[in-house]
Amino acid sequence: MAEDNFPKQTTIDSSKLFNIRVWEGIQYKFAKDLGIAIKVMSEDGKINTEESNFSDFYNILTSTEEGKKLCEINHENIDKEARFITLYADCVYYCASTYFYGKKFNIFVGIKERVSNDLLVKQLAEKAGVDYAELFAAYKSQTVFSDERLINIADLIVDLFNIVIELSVQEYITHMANKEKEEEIAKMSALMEASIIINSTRNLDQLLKIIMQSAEKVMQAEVSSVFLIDSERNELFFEVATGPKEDVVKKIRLKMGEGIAGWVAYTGESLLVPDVSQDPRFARRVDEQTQFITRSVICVPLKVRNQTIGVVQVLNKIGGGSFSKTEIKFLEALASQAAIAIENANLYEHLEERAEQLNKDLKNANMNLSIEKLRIESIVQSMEDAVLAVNSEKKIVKVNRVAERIFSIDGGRAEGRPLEDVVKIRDLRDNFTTVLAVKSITKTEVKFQMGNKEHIFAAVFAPIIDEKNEAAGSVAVFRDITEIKELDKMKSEFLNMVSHELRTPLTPIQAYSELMMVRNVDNEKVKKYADIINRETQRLGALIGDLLDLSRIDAGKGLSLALEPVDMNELMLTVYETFKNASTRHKIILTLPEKSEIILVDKNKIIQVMTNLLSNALKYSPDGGEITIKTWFDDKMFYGSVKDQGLGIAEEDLTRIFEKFFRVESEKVKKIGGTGIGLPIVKYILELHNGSIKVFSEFNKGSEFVFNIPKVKPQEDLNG
Amino acid sequence: MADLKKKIVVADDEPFILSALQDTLSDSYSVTTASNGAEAIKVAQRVMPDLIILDVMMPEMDGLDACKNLKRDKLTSTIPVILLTAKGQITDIEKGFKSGADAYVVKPFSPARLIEKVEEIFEKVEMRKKIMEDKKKA
Repeated sequence: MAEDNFPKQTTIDSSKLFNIRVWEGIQYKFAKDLGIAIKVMSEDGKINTEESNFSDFYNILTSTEEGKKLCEINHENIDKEARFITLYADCVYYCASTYFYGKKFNIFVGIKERVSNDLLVKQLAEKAGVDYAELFAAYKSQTVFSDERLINIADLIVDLFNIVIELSVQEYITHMANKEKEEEIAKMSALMEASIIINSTRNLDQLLKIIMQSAEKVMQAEVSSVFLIDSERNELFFEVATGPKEDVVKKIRLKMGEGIAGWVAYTGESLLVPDVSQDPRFARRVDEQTQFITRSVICVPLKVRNQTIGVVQVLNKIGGGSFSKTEIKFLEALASQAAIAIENANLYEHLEERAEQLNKDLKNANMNLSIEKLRIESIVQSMEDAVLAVNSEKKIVKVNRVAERIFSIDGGRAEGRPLEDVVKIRDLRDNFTTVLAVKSITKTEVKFQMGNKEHIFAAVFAPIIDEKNEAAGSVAVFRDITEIKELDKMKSEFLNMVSHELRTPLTPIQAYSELMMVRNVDNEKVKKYADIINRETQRLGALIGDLLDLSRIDAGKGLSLALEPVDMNELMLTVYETFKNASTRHKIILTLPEKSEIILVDKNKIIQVMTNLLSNALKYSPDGGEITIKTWFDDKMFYGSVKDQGLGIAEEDLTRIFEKFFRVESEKVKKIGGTGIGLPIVKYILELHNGSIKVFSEFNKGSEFVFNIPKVKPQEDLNG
Repeated sequence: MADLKKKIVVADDEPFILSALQDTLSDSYSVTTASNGAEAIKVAQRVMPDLIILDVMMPEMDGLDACKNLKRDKLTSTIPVILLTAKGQITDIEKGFKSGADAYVVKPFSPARLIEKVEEIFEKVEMRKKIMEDKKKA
């Protein structure tokens, strides 16, 4: 129990603590059982006990002039021991005063003994036939209640009053002591509660609010708040504020040293200000902004490891009055709990932040991983190469779209199935096992039937190496190289054919030139040999010309035309002369229109066209026969036709013969040399002349190539 | 004494090559020409030459098939065959030997080298004959 709080005599307001209920009970008993009316009045008038009987008594007393006078009591004149005893009829009036804890109490005692006797006197007077007034006067002169007896009773009553008042004081003292104890218990339990809260919640704001509310409750404060120091700006800000103005308050910041809170934060010392109006440190700014009137304050520092991090303040004792010094200690204890709470919360906040960050990182990583996984998945799925992966137990773990197609499987069902269920070719299965065992890559080629066509795939098998550097399975990638193979085949065939085609004219050239040099040949033979050499040189030149043209067309440079006026009959005759003796087995027939026409063409290019068509006609009619060259004109066009009686072209190949490098796939044709570039060049040259070419052919009967060139007269522009 | 001349059948689909072969060899040998493999076989069966020179790439029947056929036929199996090819590649040469050819000449050829080759083959044949005769005597 705090001694400070023990009620001092001087501070006791006896009128306040007087147990009026007990005294009124006593008054009632006196009045009812003994007919004694009592009234107690404190000199300040705060206590005024008046029993109803006393009122009757008072009424009777004041019904006469004399009685009235008696009642005009000047309390100032009632001394401690002064007593007035007045007898009026059967009424006794006694007045005494007593002091208690410096306060004067006046006690009035009245006895109305003979009210019933008064009526009896009246009746007696009537019966006896005597004058009532005379009889009453005689009766009144009789002393019925001795002064001594009355004084004794009055003294008893004064004593009783003193006892009651003493008891009241004792009761108050006991009550106050109990109250102290209760407050102490409330504070202890508030502190306990605070420490429990600190360990139960990590929400700092909520936690501080709960602590402050319990402080308010225990300390009977109107509002409270917690400030924290913003060390960067050297300011204080409201972390928690209770009360209706919380939102406004929270926007306010105090400079270090400003106001009571600023002062406490600055000095680190607790402060009790009973009346802020008397304290120059008080900052009115906050009250003005919040329209709150601060009267008294307790403010204590919030310290974490001896460092002031903020302050806690409690404002205005409810019902007025000031806070006591003991409450500083309580608030300090509470503040240290709050400091722990803040430290814990910061710690947890850090931990939570870290955990949250980690969680976020993990989520991001997972998300990235799944995005990556999806991306890889879609890459694998959209690959044009087949992918098939197995684990170390040779169960399929991954099959992509193309692999599903070449192995004729459904992806959903393939995964998890044993490899031999899906891959029927034993050698392929063995490759999966081999690379897993030797941890190195193996390459092979494999053929798959797809639709009605056989496809060639290049297959690469690789072990899947896990993070422990162990083989977790193997993966195979199959690439369709059918087209590449075809192109490759075409390329080597083309090179072979070119080589053959070049060597063919070279052979007679070399043979005859050597024969001419080494042997003594007669003039006739020289002429024959030279003629052959000349022809074969031209043939070689034409072939090289074709190859160059092709490479120009291939490189996108195209061919340019050197247009000149050409008599078409003359041109055809020249071509005919070159070819008429080319073969002993063929008969070359030339049919020209009677009237020739001169049109603008590139002479050499048209010779190239005719040479190619005629060479083909000769080549592809190995059994000989007629080769017919025919030309004619109509209004707009020049027409040329070369017709043979040779092998002919199968229908399915007709559309392809103008494709570059295309050669008909037949045993007969293969044995006939050819590069597959002649017809594409023919078509190209004719299209350059705005003309076109068509082929008519019957297999094993022969072919006819018919072309046309628009007639452009020498004055006209080719494109005009 | 035309009969003393050794007989050679040459086959090529290119008329000028055929004539070049003929012009190269006809001074020393009796040359018969054919323009494809099938024709060459027919001519060989008729003429029974001492040597056959076949171009590889010919229509109807190419040189390789003609060579195989000739070597398979008892009548013509002992006649040496020279394959004439525009292809100098090894694989083609190997093909040539698989077909049973005795030698090959790559186009374009030098007439002198061709004659050397022809004479070489005839010498080999002569030597073989002698050895056979010696064996018989022994």
